[in-house]
Amino acid sequence: MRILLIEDNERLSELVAQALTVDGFAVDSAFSLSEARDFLKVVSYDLILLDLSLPDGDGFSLIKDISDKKIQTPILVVTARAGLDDRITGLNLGADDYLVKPFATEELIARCRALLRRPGSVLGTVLFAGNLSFNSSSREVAVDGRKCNVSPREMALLEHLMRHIGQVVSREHLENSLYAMDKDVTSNAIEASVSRLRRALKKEGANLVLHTSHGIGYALIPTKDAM
Amino acid sequence: MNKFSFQKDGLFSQIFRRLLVAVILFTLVEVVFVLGMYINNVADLDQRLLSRQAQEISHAIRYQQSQLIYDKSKIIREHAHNAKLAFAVYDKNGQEILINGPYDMRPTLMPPITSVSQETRRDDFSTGFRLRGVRKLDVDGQSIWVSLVIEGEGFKPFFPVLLNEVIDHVAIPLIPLSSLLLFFNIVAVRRTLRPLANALEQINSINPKEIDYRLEVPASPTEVKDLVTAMNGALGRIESAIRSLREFTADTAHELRTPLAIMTMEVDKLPDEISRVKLKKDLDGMTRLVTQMLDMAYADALIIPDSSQANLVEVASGVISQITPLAIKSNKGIILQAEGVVEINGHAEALGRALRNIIENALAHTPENSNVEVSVLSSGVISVRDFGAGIPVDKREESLNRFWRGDRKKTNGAGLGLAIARRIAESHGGKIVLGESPDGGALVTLDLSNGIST
Repeated sequence: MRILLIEDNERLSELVAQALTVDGFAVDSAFSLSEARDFLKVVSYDLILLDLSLPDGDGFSLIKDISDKKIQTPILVVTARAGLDDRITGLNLGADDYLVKPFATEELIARCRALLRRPGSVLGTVLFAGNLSFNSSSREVAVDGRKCNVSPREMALLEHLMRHIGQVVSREHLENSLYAMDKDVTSNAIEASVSRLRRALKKEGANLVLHTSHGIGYALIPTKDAM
Repeated sequence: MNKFSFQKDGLFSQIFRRLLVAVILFTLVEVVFVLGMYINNVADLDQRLLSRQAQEISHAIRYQQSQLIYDKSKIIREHAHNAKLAFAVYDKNGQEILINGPYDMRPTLMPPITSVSQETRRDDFSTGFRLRGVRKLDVDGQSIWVSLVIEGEGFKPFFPVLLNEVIDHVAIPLIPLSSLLLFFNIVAVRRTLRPLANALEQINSINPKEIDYRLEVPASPTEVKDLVTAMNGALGRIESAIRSLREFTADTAHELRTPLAIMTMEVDKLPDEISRVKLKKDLDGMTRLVTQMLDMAYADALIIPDSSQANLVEVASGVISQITPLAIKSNKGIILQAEGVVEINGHAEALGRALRNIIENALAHTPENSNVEVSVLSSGVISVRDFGAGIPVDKREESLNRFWRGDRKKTNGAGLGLAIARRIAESHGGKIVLGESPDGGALVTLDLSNGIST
């Protein structure tokens, strides 16, 4: 997994690169748009982290270049700009996600991972969350390396939640993606799956909580001892 | 318009007072002038005194049944004070109609001469003067001749004449003239100052939030126009001062984001769990302050395009999804009650930040293991309730102001949350209402029903 980091603040660039390297990514650091363009000419990246305010121009111009060239590389904008329309502008131009400074390291890593797991990019097949791991190709779930028994339907639910670890996933989204083919799904099928998965996680000693966000959906959240 | 009515220090009373002083001064000057003129011209005074006295006498004469008669009921007033008077009246045939006055003076009366219409003679003695004269006058179409003798001393006998002259030459022209002047002045000033009254009304209604407000510049008068233009100039300078202050605040907040990002990442690397958690909490507080300062600046500058639509249900679920992980960390939850689509004309991101601030506020005050309940009603109203102590009734209005904090120990915010929410609500033509839920806790309502799409 190779990431291009475009950030003109040297200290921040160094810290981000370090954090990503620790997490197993290879990072190239560019400090200006022209440097970034030079990198992009010779290397193909899995993800681009882009600051918007750069010494030789606006990061938005790079997003436009990349989407004009139909390059599929996902772009995560990491910026101090938090104006009311900045996020929408960035996403409309073709950025895949928008993270406002300051951010927690875990948040940055989670966002990077989420983008890398998206269809179209080369996927890492093993997902980690707390002491839980999930191999999306062999369909194996393990807590602290111990394999556990989880039924296929709950496994699909778990996969979705793990891909959005720490975030609320809407019930609508889960219903659409888990039961798209199932015509005779009852309205409380999700609730049943959730409570079965919750029981299983508890039984296996996973340090994760499956939280019900009433009126919205569900979230898989690491407990305090998992952080 | 009562600003320009007759007040003690009002413009009208000032004009009135000054005009009055001017009139008095002018009167005095004229009086002195008139007096000076006559004192240097005693002969004229003599003539006038005699003429005046003769005139007075003639009032007692009437022409009746082709005869001039003397009406005894008419009192002949003596116009010469401290002086003795004798007189006789003759008709055109030289026939004496009436004779009056001390007997010793009568012989000095001049006999009338029909061809002479007016004659005056003055004799000065060591004891005084004697005026003698004849006046031809007209009574009911008949000519009469009045012969008079006045004996007196000094100036005193002439006072009535002088007074009469002063009244004739000073008071009679001046009083109506100055009254007219005053009247026209007041009308003119009132008219001229109407633009000033308008400006005053506008100034009084300036809303501190509308820093770009300017007064309407009147076409005339130039002085008021200049004043209003100068006032607008001052407002402009105040506005640019406020703007540069706000921009400075926003720029500073913006510039703090990158150093905060560096600090956050450095703190994340700390091996010591306890100090890491503590520092992280401080950093969160700083981050929140910076975010709120910027959000306040964005809210101040918010303009909502007519075409911009926002679905309140989507806004609410988006915000709650964002905050829920943080709420869970402090053992609190957020429940959303909403169905379908509630569309209003509004800015989704701005509304999200308004609601986010309200919910964050509620989360700060609701106790652990309780939920913040958010409801979106189809009427365009979002309500947020918590299970905390609630906001005291007397603090509700001020809690919507900037930098207000209820319990300073409890919250780490800047006290901008509700002010941001209010500013955004107002930009949408809505409002924030603080209340309490039936079983305790605050109930904050974001009322956006004005913008509901029909």
